Amino acid sequence: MKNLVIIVFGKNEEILHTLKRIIESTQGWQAIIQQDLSTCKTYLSANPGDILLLSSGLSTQEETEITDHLLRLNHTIGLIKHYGGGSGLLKNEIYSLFPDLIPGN
Amino acid sequence: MNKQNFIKKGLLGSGIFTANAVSAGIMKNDIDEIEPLEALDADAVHYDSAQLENHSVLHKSTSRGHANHGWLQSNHTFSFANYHNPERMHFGVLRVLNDDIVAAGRGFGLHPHDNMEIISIPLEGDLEHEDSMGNQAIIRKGDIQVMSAGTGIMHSEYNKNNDREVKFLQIWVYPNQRNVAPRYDQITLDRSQRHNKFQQILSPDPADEGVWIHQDAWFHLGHFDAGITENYKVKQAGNGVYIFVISGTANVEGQELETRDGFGIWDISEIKITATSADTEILLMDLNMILN
Repeated sequence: MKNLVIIVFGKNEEILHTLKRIIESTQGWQAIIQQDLSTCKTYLSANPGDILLLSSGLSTQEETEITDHLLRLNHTIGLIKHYGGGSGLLKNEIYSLFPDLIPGN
Repeated sequence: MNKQNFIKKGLLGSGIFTANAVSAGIMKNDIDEIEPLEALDADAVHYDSAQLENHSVLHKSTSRGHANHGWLQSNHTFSFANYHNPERMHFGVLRVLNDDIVAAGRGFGLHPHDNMEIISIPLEGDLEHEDSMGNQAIIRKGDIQVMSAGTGIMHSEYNKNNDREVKFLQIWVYPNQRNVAPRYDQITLDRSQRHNKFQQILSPDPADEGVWIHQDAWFHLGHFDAGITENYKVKQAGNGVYIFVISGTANVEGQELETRDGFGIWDISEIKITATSADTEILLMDLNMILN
């Protein structure tokens, strides 16, 4: 399985930790939790990772600002607006960005 | 890609969440590829067979994804959890249609949800619900439960009974806005009001019949005798309709459907539905095809 670093940005602590647990249940996938816009921007600038996953509790302005920040980075990164808050859709969202990760592909 | 294939690709899901290369190397799972559907003929009411093929999608019950967790048997019409099929990602804003059977006394422990409109429809047995907003409830056949997960909610769902299974449909609809305040509701419906007609169970309007959600969607249940025909008028221009046969058999615009088949149809203003066996129960979902 390809190694992935997924930055999970959101406000709901229980959901953030659930997403981290689900992500890290796949060997080679690592989740970095970010809860503050400024800190998240700084982290992304230094460590852009593979995917920025927008979790819940963010304002529209925060979602817009972090997306604009990504556009300014000279780095290829996946952006996932996550829906559902758990295991139901998460892997499908990731597989949609990286179809080569689908088991059997 | 021609227009028709483009639309179909988007509707079937491989377009909506396919990584799109955009400026600065960002790949998005956003909805950029989805465009409003163009009605071929705004005045068309029903389709002939050739038109139907280009404006519909059939999901046979046997083609669904299946998960066997011992205590939980789940059939997934659309990709869910470990079932991933790029051609089965959604129908418009309808993202999840799970047909679940939970063993006696078992269930889903405390787990989170966010940013999803979640509708549960019990088919048999009693389902016990608890959530982080302080709601404790039991839902059973005839009830409809709705949760707007919004910024986040924790909940559990258990089979209330130790001597029989609980069977229910769980449906997830994308909300029309992210991060709304979480909300829970359940109602008990008069099932006699759906005999040989459709009974509205959900809408976007809190003042309308049934529960309400943050989306331009209208759900209906109907319980039909053999041979009964209903003409359903689509509520909103551009919406599609997804029909799920809970029991019995039906013919929808010429398409024969068996129990637990799903059939989506779009670009149509009215749909002819005929029950072709006794005790045919149908869930009809009239849904926005575009995620705003």
